[in-house]
Amino acid sequence: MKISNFLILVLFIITACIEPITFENPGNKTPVVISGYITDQTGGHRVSVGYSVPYTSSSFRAYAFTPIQDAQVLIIDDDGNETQLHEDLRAAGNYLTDDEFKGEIGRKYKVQVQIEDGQAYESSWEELKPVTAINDLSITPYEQRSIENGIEVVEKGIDAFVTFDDPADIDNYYRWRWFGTYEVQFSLDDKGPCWITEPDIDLINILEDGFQDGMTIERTAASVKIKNRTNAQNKYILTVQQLSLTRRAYEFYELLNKQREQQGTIFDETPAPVRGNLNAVNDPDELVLGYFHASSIKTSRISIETIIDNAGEILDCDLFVQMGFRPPTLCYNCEQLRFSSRIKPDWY
Amino acid sequence: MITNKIRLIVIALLLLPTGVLTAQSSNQIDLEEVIKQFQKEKDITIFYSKEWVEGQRVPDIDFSGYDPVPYFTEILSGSGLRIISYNSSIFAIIDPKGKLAVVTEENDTRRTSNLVTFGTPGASSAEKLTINGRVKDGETGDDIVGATVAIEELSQGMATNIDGFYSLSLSPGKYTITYKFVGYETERRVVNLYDNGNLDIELFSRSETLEEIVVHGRPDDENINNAQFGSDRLTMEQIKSIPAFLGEADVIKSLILLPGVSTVGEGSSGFNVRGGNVDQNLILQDEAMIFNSSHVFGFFSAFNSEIVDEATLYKGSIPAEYGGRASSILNVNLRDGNRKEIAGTAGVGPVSAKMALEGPIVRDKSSFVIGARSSYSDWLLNNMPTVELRNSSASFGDLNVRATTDVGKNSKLTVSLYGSTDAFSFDADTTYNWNTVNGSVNYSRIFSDKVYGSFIFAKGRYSHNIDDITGLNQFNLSSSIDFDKAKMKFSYSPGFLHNISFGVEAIRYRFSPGNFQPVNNSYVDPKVVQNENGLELAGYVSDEWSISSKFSVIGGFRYSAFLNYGPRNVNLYLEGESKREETITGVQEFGKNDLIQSYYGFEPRLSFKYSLDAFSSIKASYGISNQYLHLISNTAAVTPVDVWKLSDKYIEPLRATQLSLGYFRNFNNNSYETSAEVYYKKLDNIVEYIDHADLLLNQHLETDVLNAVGNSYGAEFFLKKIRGRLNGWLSYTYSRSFRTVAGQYQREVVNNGNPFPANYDKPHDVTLVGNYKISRRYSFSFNFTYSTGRPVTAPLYRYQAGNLLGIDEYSFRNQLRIPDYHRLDLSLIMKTSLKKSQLWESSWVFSVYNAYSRMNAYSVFYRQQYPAGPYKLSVIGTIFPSVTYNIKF
Repeated sequence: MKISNFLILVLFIITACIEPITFENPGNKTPVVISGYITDQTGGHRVSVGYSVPYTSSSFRAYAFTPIQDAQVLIIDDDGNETQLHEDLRAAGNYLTDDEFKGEIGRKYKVQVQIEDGQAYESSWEELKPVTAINDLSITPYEQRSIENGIEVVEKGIDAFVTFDDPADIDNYYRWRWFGTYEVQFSLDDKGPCWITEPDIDLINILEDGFQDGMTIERTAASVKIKNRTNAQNKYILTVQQLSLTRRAYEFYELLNKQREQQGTIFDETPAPVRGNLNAVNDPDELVLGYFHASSIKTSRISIETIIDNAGEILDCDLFVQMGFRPPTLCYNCEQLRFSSRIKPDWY
Repeated sequence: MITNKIRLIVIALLLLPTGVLTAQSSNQIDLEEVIKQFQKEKDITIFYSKEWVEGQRVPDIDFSGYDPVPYFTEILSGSGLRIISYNSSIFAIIDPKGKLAVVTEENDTRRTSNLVTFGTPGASSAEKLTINGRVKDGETGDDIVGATVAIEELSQGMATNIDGFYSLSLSPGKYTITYKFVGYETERRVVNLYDNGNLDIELFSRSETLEEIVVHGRPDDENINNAQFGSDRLTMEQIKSIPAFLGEADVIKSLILLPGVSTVGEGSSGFNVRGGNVDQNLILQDEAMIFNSSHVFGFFSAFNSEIVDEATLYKGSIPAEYGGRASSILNVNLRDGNRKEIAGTAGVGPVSAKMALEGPIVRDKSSFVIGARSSYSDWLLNNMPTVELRNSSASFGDLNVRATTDVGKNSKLTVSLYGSTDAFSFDADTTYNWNTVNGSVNYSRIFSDKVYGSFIFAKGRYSHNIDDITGLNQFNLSSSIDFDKAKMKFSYSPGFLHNISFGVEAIRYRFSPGNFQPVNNSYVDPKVVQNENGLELAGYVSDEWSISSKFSVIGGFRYSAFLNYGPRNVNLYLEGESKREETITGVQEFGKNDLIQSYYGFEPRLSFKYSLDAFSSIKASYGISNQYLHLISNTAAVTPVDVWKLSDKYIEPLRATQLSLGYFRNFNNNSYETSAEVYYKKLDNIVEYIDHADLLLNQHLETDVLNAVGNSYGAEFFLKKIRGRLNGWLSYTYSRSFRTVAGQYQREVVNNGNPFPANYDKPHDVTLVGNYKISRRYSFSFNFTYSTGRPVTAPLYRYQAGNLLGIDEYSFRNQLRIPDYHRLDLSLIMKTSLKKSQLWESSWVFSVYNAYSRMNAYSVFYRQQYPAGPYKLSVIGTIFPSVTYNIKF
């Protein structure tokens, strides 16, 4: 509950006098952003390398990243082992570990990045800490009413809760991520169905055990909206990941969360820079953004039946053909959907 | 008949010696003639007594190359007379065996009238006699505060105190006493003082035919001659002559036009003085504290201009009488009601209406004044473009009731009550409410001709509330401050050279910082922040000492103590770790009235004046103030829901040390005042906040609040034209205000421990205020202000990290600036009739705020939707005209 939001809104509206403004660009080069994490599980781990964009540019959130390609990205552990990452051909500026690579609990890792202009960056050491197992994953429906532009909006969905036993007498820091997987099929697609794995966009769900040290903790790990998902089958598998964080990584995410409440008004708390754990090797004063960490992961899955709401909104490819129209290309290749894959996950 | 005869004889005697002396040698000259010529040539004043000078012949020496003292010393040798100098342009010729008191120019008719004689020659053998009395308004019977009572012959004088009382201690003799006050005819009395006497004076308003625009309530040269400096007095005449937003003459908006006073922006409550936070200003209205000086988020101030007598802001050398705040004292005195007849004023503007009614309770003995203001329309909001805002409402009102009565000959009792309310509801679901209820009683008494005292008791409550009564999360959040204050103050004037004041003060505070409760069985969890109790005690002594005619000193000190006491539970933290919620190791319980923490401090206050000549002086001051309560606000502008906090075990008192130096010079017979002042102020233990502090309903504020060091410095240049059809002022201020937060632990460091500008650090500030009297009916005013844009903390970059799409990377605290601010306001005052026969006078005030429609930035925000990017927000981004109609009866 943020009381000041009301005031913010008031002044926003009182004004009606809102005009674009230009700040002096602090420099001609925007800082490099390096972010990503590795885990103690196999599967390609991702590190992204790019430039941030100046705040002054009129940019949508989705484009606030200028990829840096052809970078040399290495993950090094405290035993001197090096792993070279390869560039993801589907996503520029993203670098992946080999599928077999996995981290070890108790070991420390850091990332080293050398970009084309010769500048080198390095993270500080991050320990891969263990994480306790999820005892139980349960779901419960939710309904959230809000007023947007004077109209009442009802959002329905499913909350998923994890229950776990927090190890006593040690500080534990958690992060949860979730993915929802469902199958789509188009009648004109010869290659068969696709599996979509939708991620938790823009979610920072973290916890410090603090007062709950050593207790059994129940925690919301995911909130999945009931909505239209193009041509989805009814089976929806929710994957919840419980990650360990170091205290420093936890604090980084915590500050990002707080900063997101900023609205830019006079009633805002004064914001501040949030610095990650990356530095330029040759220039300690260079500002480098982002965070690299190593996490242990425990995964739990649950099937949700009611999450797809495609009432009356099915893309009927056959109908196009019957009516003599040319069907959308999607009808021939479900891989065009975001987050889609031809490979069926073994647990689906 | 007898007196006529005597007069004839006197005339004969006066003529006789002249006739005799003219026959004497030609190298001797009449002394009186020399004095007259000398005065004329050198443009100086020489006082002398006719009876001593009469008939004195002195050598005829050319005086062109001489200074007065050596010249007269030379020519008076052998005459038994002597010359003394008061300052570089005022001298007196005295008979060392005679009395110092002298009377000049008997022929001046002004001074031969109004002769008053106390006692008979030789009635008293005392070295010093006292003459005292009260100066009152002849029409209303009100005491006139600050009227000048001056002994012309000695070029010495004093101002009447808050009860219009004056007391002069003089050698027996004959004096001309003048009584002056702004807008009143000056009265003169020639007094033969042979015994102590009482002389009450009634002053009468000047008629309209006289030049009326007088903007100074003190002697014209007070600015150069008073050791007190770094203070600004505004009378209501001045405040009303400044163009006003929505036509409402405003004390605080007028103060902001003075050098050294600034604000974060339009629509923000409070003001900043010489690099101090909003909470560093002690605001007193009839001695009761005002915690929120604004209505409607700062668009109006809490003071009803119809009943304010004058407002004084002390920003440099703060008198020892006042303390408890680090940066300034704003003392607003309300006026007494009319003691002769019922009178009133009323005014109607586009948003609010105001009235004042006053009159005698017992004629010539006691009076009342009632002032009320209320908003009556949501005109401002109803003109806004969105439905939400048109459904919103902002209302305010305030009421002052004040009664004064004489108690016997020497005492006066004043009761002043004040209530103020504000309600702001947004789209009919959330209501913000803030209220002040204050009361004060002041009993002042003249104990003797030299001792004057006041006993003050004040009590008040400031509270605010937020109510949300729709939806699932209905709640009420309330907080309040209660205070009780008792003060005794005395002044003792043993003579011209000293004016000693002393007193004691005690203030008890009870803070209820936040009580959050669900309403109508809503789902929110109740949360209560513990109450706080505090007691602030202080005593002071101060002496205003005229060491010589050139050099005077105000020296004093204040000793203050503060006790924070229970009941309260105080968190204990792990040693050697930064205070965080996670490092709380336990709770220490304090019972009722148990002492939790005490602080005390010695606060010296010193200021000096040295007159270079009759028109210029240099002043310097040094002072320390302790502040034991803090406004907790982490936003650029103070919001009506910010809470106050007492100093406690962890949050130490703020201590301000200020040094200032000034040069003051008047031109053209005091028609122009100029000054240049520089200051340096250090603020120890100023409250700052950790990055990402969480302040709302925080049960352990010490984890999010830091002790910072503040440094402020600046230079203020001021040119003021006091007289003439065009008057006003031009000021330029250069000021900087920085904070340094370099705590022991990483989370207690801001901006790597480097200094950063305060929210209101606006280095350059230019203000031009003018008032032109077109005719007796019309006058035109304008003011222009320019200031550097205030600092902001804004995002510099935006980036993505994994599933997080738009992360804003902010600058260090206050490293960017919004665009510069400038604005022109105009107003025209039209009086409808000047005929005295009319039952009432009325006037129209046409005003235009932001005349060239500048879209001044107030804050900066980022819009996510198209067209995305940084935007500035202007609170009053357009021209704002208004009409106000005022009547006076």
